[in-house]
This record gives sequence, C-alpha cells and structure tokens, in this order.
Amino acid sequence: MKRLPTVPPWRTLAADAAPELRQLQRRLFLKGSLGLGALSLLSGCSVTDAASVQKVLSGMSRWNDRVQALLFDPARLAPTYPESAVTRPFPFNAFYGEDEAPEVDGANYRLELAGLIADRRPWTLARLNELPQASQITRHVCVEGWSAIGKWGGVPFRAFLERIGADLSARYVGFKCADDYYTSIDMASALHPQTLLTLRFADAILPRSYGFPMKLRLPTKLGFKNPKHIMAIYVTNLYPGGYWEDQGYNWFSGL
Amino acid sequence: MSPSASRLARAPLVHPLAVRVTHWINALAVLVMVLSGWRIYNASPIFAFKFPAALTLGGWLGGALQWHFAAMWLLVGNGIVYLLYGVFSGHYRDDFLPVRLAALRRELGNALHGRLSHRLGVYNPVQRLAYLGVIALIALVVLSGLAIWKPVQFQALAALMGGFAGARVVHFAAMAALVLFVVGHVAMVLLVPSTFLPMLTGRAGKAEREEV
Amino acid sequence: MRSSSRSVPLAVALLFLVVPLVAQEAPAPGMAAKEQPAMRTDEPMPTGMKRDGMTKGEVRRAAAKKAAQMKEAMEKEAQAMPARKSAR
Repeated sequence: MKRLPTVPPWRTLAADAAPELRQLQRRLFLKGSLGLGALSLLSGCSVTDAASVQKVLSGMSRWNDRVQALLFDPARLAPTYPESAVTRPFPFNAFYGEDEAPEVDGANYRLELAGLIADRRPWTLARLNELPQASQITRHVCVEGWSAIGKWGGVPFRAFLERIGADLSARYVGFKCADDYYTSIDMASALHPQTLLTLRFADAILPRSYGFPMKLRLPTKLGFKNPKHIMAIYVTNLYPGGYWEDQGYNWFSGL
Repeated sequence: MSPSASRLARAPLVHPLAVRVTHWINALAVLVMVLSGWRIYNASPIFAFKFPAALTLGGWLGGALQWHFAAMWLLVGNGIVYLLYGVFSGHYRDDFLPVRLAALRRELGNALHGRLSHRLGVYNPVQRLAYLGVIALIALVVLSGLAIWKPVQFQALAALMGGFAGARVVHFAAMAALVLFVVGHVAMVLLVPSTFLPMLTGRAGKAEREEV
Repeated sequence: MRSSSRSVPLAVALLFLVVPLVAQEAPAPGMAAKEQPAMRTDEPMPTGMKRDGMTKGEVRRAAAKKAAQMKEAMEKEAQAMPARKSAR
C-alpha cells in the first residue's frame, strides 16, 4: 500500500526553489569572491564546491584570529618615531569622501557607555580632557597596504576602562561611531599600554577628517580596527564583529 | 599484474613519493599565494602598475586576503614537511650537494650552446643551484610575509627588511623572482617532456629508461 | 550717541541675516548631539576596501541590523552586572 505524501505544499515549494536559490548563490559567490584565476583553479572541481570553499576560508580566518591572539605580546610596544617622521598630509580613508565626514557637535557630545561597565554615566569632552593624557608617534598600517606615521594624543584606554569600572576580564570592547561604522577589539589589545582614546592629532584638537571628537588609536592593529567619531563604547562577552569584519576581513587584524 | 605494470614496477624510482606529493601541494599553494597576492598588491600598488584583475584570485581585497591567509598555512606546513624530509632522508645531501663552481660554469656554457644534459634522477649543477635557490626564495617570501603580517610582534624581522614598507618591497621582489623561476621551470619541462611523468608516477617511462 | 544710532539699523540687519541661519542649524528637540552629514548613500564607496557594488549607505543598514541582533542578549548580559555610581 502506498503512503500518501504528507509533505505540506509550502515545503515542496521551498524544496523546488532550493536548487535555483543555491545556483543563484553560487553564481553570486563566483562573481563576488573569485576572479578568473580562481575559476581556472576550480575548473577541475564541481562548482558546487564554491560555497564550501567560502566556509573553509571563513574557518581559516577564525583560526587566524586564535593564532594572532597567541602571537600578541601585551608588553611588546610598537615602534615610535621622531616628529620629523610624521607623514604630511596624513591620508584620509573611509567608506565615504572626506567632505562627507560626520560633523559632531563637541559642546553637546556625550560618550555613551554600555555593557559590562560598572559606571555607565556618559562622558563630556571636557571631562575626558581632564583625565591624564599621553601622546605617541606611531605607524598607522592600512589593510590596503599603505602606511603613514601620525602623532596622536589622548587618554590611555586602560586607565579609562579602569576608571569606569569595566569588567577587564570580559572578551570584547565594541565601538559605535557617528558615521554608523562599528567595530570591536579583544580586551588584551584594549589594555595594551599604547592603546589611546585620542582627542588630539598633531597636537591640535582631533580634526573632523581624522575622527572628531574621538578616535581609538591602537598601533598594534590595522587601521580599520581604529574607529573614528566614537559615540558609544561597550564591553561584552558576546562577539560583536564589525562592519568590515562581517564582510570578510579578519577580525583580530593585529600587527 | 599486467606486463606494463610489472615493467613500471621494475623502473628505477626517479622521485620518491614524499618529494612528489610536497612538490604538487607546493605548486598549488604558490599558485594561490601569487594570484591572491596580486589582488592584494592592486589595493595599494608599490610600483606604477597593477596586475590585470582577471588574472587575480579573490575577487576583491577582502576575498584575496582570505585566500592568502588560508593558503599560507598550506605553503608553510607543506614546506616544513618537505624540509624535514629532505634533511632526514638524505635527499639534500645525496641529490643537491655539492654545487661545484667549475661544474656549474661548464653546465651553464653547455646550456647556452643549446646542449642540455639531463639524466632523470640526477640533478645537474644548474638544476642544483636553481632548486636550492627556489627553496631560499620561498623562505624569503615567507619571512618577508611574516614581517608584513606582524610588523609589531616581529619588529626585529621587519626592521631587517627596512620596516613595514621595506618588507613589502622584499615580499614583492621575492614573488617576482619566484614567478621567474616557475616560468623557467615550466619551460624546461616543455623542452624535456620526459621529465614530467616521473614527477607524477615517480618512475620513468619506457623510452626514457632505455636512454638511461 | 551718534555712533549707537548708526549701529542700531546695522544690528537689525545682522539679526535678519543670522537668525534664519541659526534657526536652520539648531537641532530638533530630542535629537542626539550628533548631526548626520549629507552622505550620498547611493554612491559607491570610495575606499579600496570595498567589494564591487558596495554603497556608502550599506554601513548604516548593517549597523542597525547588528544592533538589533545584539540588543536583547547584551541587555541580559549587562543586567547581571550591578551598576556602580562611584564619585568621579
């Protein structure tokens, strides 16, 4: 006796659509992630492998996060340079043009705090300027391959995190910016002695182009891990990722 | 066993299995590293040219970086296996050393006059130098790559190469030399096609054995 | 008093000039301190980090999505930590 099919019609519809969807995904993937070089490389394999190739690549990136965390020496300082080595003009790089950089009103600015922080009251720029300041001349390295030397000044991030009662055993510190950019770093890098919550660039108030009112500066990480125009900082154990990181750039991106 | 199979089994071993496997894994790793590296280079060229995008791997900077930082483990892991095998099996001692200057000069002279001496399983002086050279090149490309990847953690290594920007130039130069080697290497195989099969099966074909 | 009589019409003229400008730039009540620049959101990103087809406006959409994804779990996580109101 034959059993009647019990699969609801919407299930079969989805099943019918699935191969087409998969094919579309494959095509999009090939267009997005592979050049002709890869096509010739993969010509021996079935194209269905494309999605699993992406899975392997993402897995390798997570593995590289772990390796980099092991390689990171919390006491090793990035090289510093004399004033004469500073790159002028310092390059501007963002996902928008320099004229589109956000205009943040410094007088009404409040740095928001959230997550695993004991004292989450917001900070004004005036109060941040009252904290002990430090400065550094270090090399900013962009994931694109160029690098430039700049002079930044501001509050050592470790001192700030201690001051606000952040849970220093938490895994991540996340940032939300006025231009909607977002990123996050590991706690060990946040506590590195050269990690600065910068308020100044080249001894002047941080200009709009370079992240007014505040930019996090880590000479131990690639440029896109140095957020500009920071509006909120949070501490968490939940992996927050970041804009570029979620697109496929390596999350740790340590130098 | 078929007659041809038994003949194959009796044929002298030209390339041991470990050499063949590591050779082809290395070829794949180098191909992926070079093609994805070209895409990464294009994001911020050191010189006044870019590589044609169609020849590159990864589709965009983020994709190319994923390929590059995945295949580096294949290149380095396979390279370590190959070096350990070469040292402990006596492969380097028996097949690469010594490289004598007089023999090298004679061989180069022969080559320039179109006389290529090639005996399967025996490396002539030019081959010895080229293969030792390419091992050194891959070591250089890996070290300069480490200096670019970790210019703070490995800052002594980076300083040795002229800092982050200098290491990029070294990395590029080592890549260029490696690509030149591959071009020459493939050209030699095309000139002496009998060398190709032993790199797959390990043993020479019938015709070559009679020559040997 | 001659000088002040001359400056009164000048001040009035200036007021007419400045007031509309200020009124335009004053933030609406209840708005955050930040002001959004006129970002041309449909344009492709100018950075070398982009993938073909990425536009400037995508970052805002991604940020909103991420915030929504994390909101509940982060609030739960933060509640487990008692707030401290220390003297600063």
